[in-house]
Amino acid sequence: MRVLRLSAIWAALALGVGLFVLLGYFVELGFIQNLRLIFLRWAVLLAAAALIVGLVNLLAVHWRKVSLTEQGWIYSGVLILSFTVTFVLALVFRPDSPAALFIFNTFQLPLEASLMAVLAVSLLVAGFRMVNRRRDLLSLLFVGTALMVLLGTGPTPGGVEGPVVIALRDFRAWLSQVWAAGGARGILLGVALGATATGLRVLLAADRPYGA
Amino acid sequence: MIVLRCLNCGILNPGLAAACRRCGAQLEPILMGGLADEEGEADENGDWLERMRQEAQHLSAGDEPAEDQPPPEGEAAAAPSGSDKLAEAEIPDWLDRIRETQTGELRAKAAAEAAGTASPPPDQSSLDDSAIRARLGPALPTGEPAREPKWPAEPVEELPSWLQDVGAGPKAETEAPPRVPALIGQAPDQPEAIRPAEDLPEWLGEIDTLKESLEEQMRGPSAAPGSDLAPATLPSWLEAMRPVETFRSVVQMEAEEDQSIESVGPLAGLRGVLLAEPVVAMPRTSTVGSMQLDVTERHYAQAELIHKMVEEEQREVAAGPRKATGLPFFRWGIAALVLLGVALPIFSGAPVFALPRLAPQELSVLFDLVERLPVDRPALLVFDYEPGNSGELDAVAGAFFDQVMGRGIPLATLTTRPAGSALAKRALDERAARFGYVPGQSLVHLGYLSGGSTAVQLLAINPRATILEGFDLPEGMPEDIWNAPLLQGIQTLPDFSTVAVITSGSESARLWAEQVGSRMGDTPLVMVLSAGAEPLIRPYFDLQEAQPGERRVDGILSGLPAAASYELRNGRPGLALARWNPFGSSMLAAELILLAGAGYGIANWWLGRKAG
Repeated sequence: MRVLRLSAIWAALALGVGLFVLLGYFVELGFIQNLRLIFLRWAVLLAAAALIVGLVNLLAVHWRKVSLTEQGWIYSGVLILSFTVTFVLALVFRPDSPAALFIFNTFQLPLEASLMAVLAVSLLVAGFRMVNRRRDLLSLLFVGTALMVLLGTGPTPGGVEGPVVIALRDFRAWLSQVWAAGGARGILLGVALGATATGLRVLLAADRPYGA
Repeated sequence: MIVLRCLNCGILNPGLAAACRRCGAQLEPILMGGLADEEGEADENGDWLERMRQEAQHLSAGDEPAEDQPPPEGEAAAAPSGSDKLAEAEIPDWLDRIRETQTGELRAKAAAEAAGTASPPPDQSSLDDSAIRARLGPALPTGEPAREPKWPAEPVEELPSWLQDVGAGPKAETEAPPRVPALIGQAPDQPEAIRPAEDLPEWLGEIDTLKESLEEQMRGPSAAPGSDLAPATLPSWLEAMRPVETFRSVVQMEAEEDQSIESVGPLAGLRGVLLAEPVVAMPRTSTVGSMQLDVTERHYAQAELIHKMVEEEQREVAAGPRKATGLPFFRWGIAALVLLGVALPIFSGAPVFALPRLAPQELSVLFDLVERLPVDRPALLVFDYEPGNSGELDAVAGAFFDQVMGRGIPLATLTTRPAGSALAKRALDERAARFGYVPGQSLVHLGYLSGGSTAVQLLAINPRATILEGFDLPEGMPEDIWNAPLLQGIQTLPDFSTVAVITSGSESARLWAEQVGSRMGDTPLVMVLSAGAEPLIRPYFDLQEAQPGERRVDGILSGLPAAASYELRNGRPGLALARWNPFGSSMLAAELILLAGAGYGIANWWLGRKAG
């Protein structure tokens, strides 16, 4: 009985808050707008708190790996060390201090850019092996489309763009703006319908992501 | 016939059965007034029953046990005192009460006869005992040793006929008082009044049947042909089913004052009612559910198969020879080709790629839009990308920044990524110095907006309530960043001259287009995108062409080729044009690698097909 009452309270809270935030889109009453603003501020605070909780959890997981010397514990140790140094520097000297910016420009930015470069190489390796590993029409179609888009996107060797290059660019634009855009609109419609259905289910307490 | 009722299942069993024939529970006789175990180990073997059997044999044979006949083996020690013990200890109370009642009646009769006749009064004690024995017949245990009668053993007419017979028998032969065989504890060496078998009561005749039944059970399984079980040996399955620990086949009788009074049911108010709990409620092995498994050969084979499968699962597979992991030369080769394509134009200046001559249609829309932006209101630049995408987006957004800053539009930056503020500072500081922007006056970093999509929605409603602290603010800035001269006129998002979102992900771009686009009023929303995010955002841009009143995104700039065209149109060469040749060379390398891979795959397939 108590569980039933608690779940009913949570559902009523979620329903009320959701309705007020939703009404704020359509009704310009000051009361509703102010209440919506309060709810949104609470949500932002909760999101920030969730970020901190996530950081603590991340630290705890890697600290356990180091403590138990599990496989790859050395990487966990590096993570804990870098996290601690960055966190302390940003906390003591502020995130816009020269020390924090030095860490960002010297370590974080090159590392992440290098990972993107490695991703490009990995995609090329997969593309090279694709036809050899899976010889069917779809694989050939996939590789051919990628090749056409690259040819239509990249610059043309030589000094002048000839008619072939222009034809390739038009073909690439046709692929991008007809096929890809059509598929993208379908995806967006699906996302919108899914988001609407999910929102309604939460508003009607059919789904309770906050717990039953 | 004596039978034993099993307290477990309630079925009747032969008297000598050690275990119930249905449920296998141990059977022990229940003796009123005490436990059967208290009788000692001798009674467990049914000594009393053996004595009763011997007496029945005597009765059926019609002979009288001799006075000097030795007692059976095993009873010789107990025989002399056996009757005394039975008389004193084993005769139950109810039997005593019956005896007293009968004694009283007989005394009254004797007194009446003494008054009517001149016969001498008999010894009362002997009369009591013999009369009771005569009345109860052989079922009455011998209470005490026989005593010599002190009265003439004449038949009394008032006595029942069977009692007269009892009295006449001994008189005719030995003139001794009648001795009746006792059911339990009768000493065989004591003289008894033997009655012919045909004169015995009907129930006593059943002793023969009982005897045969008992003897048959005593022989039991051992006498069965082909059986190898010992008489007292239970089969293992029956032994396993026997509820040894949980079931008590003996009911303990408590003292009367300790017995509880029944409170419910038809026996309410009675004391000492036998409890039904030992039968119906005490934990024991279920007799209903016990059944024999009908295991066929097929079942057995299937069980063996499952057993083997489980064993194979548990068996540790021996590790095979470890495959030598060589260096990934193939991947290194492809990486080297791409790296060569990027580095060659930088260091050698070749190859040279043609600059884009035709600009995308949306490029002119964006260019004209920026040209129309007012310079008295700041533009909000949102840096929503990760540092890994800075290689592309720094070059793409640089063309846009150059045009905006070339017009002298004040700038405010914002980010929803933790590293976005550092990216904004890195992208704008050098240009700020080049275009004469003064930090804090014409360029302000608002910093990190935490909270994701909710924070963006809150920013669209009330920016001043969302941003409370800036990033890398110069000295002399007011406590509240919104009081800075640059931001004093900003109350809502449409108060900015434009909002430009620089992002590499379609999710982030959709978030801004959906949450902010509808609240921008006449203020344009511009998207500066990575080439990969363009297809999902272009529908928002195309919406304004189909429905001008329902616009979401007013300008879009994506990819390095568009940025190069933008710089060419803006007349300010920047990173896009500087990276044009390396970009073209690496793209060419990628195209060649894909082409080579496709050709290799097709050739391999062709050769394999040709080889059969």
